[in-house]
Amino acid sequence: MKADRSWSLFLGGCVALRVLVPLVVLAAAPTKLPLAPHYTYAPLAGDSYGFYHALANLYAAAPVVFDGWIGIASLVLLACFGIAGELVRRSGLTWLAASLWLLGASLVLGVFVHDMADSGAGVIGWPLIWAFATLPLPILRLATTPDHAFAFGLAVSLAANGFTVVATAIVGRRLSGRRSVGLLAAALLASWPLWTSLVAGSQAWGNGQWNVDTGLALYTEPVSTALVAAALLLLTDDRLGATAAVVAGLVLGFSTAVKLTDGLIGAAITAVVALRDGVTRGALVALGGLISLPVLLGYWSHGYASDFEGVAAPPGGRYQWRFVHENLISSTIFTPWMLVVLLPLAVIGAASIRDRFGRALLVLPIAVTVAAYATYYWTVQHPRFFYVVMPAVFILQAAGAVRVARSAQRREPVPESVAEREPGSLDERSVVARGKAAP
Amino acid sequence: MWTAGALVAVGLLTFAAAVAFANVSAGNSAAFVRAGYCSVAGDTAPDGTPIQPGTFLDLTLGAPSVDGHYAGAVPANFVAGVGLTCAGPPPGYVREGFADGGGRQGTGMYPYYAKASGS
Repeated sequence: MKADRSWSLFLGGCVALRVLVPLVVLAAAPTKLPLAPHYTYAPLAGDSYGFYHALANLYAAAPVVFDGWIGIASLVLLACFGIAGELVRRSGLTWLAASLWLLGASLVLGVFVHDMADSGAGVIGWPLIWAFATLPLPILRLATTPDHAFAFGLAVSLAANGFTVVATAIVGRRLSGRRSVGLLAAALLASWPLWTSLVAGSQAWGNGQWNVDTGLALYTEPVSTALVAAALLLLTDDRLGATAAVVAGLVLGFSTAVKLTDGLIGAAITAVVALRDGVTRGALVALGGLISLPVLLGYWSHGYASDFEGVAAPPGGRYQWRFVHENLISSTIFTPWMLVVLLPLAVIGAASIRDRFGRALLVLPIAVTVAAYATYYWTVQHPRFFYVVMPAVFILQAAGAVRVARSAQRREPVPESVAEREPGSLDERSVVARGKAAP
Repeated sequence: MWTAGALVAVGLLTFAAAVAFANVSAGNSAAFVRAGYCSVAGDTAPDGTPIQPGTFLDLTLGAPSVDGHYAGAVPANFVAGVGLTCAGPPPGYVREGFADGGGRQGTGMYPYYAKASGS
């Protein structure tokens, strides 16, 4: 009980740190604070113009699209799928009921975003969430100005960041079997905005990357990261049922509508689940992922397919092998020093997680994300592309740090805290399954 | 279960028929906010004609980020007593944060200039 209370208190502190840092910087603007970049309030900057345009266009398109036959047919579709879902739920197929309910909404949203005007946003997932969060403004007949929308967008981004901290702690605890790993991972993630510049220098703040990470820029990253973390949270629960598998897939699928390369993470995670729990369970995750496909396809012609990203692509295209070297040595955040800080402990951590599926759930998302962006022209100036896997990196790093600390302790035998070791953890189960004693 | 399947089929067919025959597009329903920008070297009109740097541009908000014709264009200045302009502030005016298009300080994206107190 005392351990639970300590866990909750520490985790609450981590969430508070993650949320309060950007709020304090915002409140103090334009005064520069230590360990944070100089920030001057501007409701929109860079890509958030496009996201805001998409939000505004969604509001403008709604009466045009739904005032007529499509509106009536949408109601019929939602009613039919809703009743059908309830019927199958009563027969015990909750996963199928959830799929039907969500698929109905997805089909309607898919047509909606297809018929909206171009906005300049490369993806529609984040503008959709932002638009739903901002609904009180049109309902109260208040103007959806950039300043008003900023408050709602920031609230969603901060909530997403706070949730990611909690998910990171729980996933870390489950996969390692140690509370200390979960808490250390959460602490590393929560304090990341404060120590990035200490390792990488003030260039880490360049191109607004700090604002993106903390949520002040209203970019896709906080929500994208939270969605992937939510999927890991669901899939590491040892009571994972069919419905949870579908929901995990849904979360991963929608995260693809928020950030396209999250689809690669979703595919990798689905493969791990299929290997761990069987093809049927993997298929349920895939089914959940496909529910968001109408939204993704509906917006496709408006998004990156038609986007020239504001500047011309370099000769030879955006993806070239020669960019790998530049991305490796010139990143504004993942500098050689930062990699030295992050990687060795993460490698030790990966080795220390004995459940190979648990390890794969952390390592594969990192691998596919690095592979997706290694040859990309803009990666060097946009280390934010990797933010989505930072929870996994910090879990591995924390596991490595705890492993090193325990190795050092072995020279001076210290009894392990009863509260530290999680009974029934994935890590412990894998050890028991192999008939070995825990070290 | 058969009832559920029939409901799904009815819903899908109704929706598909409406989408196929209604042919609705909200492509002209854009609700962009307009904003004042100042051109920079290299900006061009949609027909490719060069725009002289420092020209006031009435664009949709964020157009320089998504439209290559106006790449790099910067928000206009809001000079107290003048309004939005691409001209520099008059002598004796100093920068006082940002303002919106109505000149309200502390919000918006336009660099705000006002007469220095005491000058």
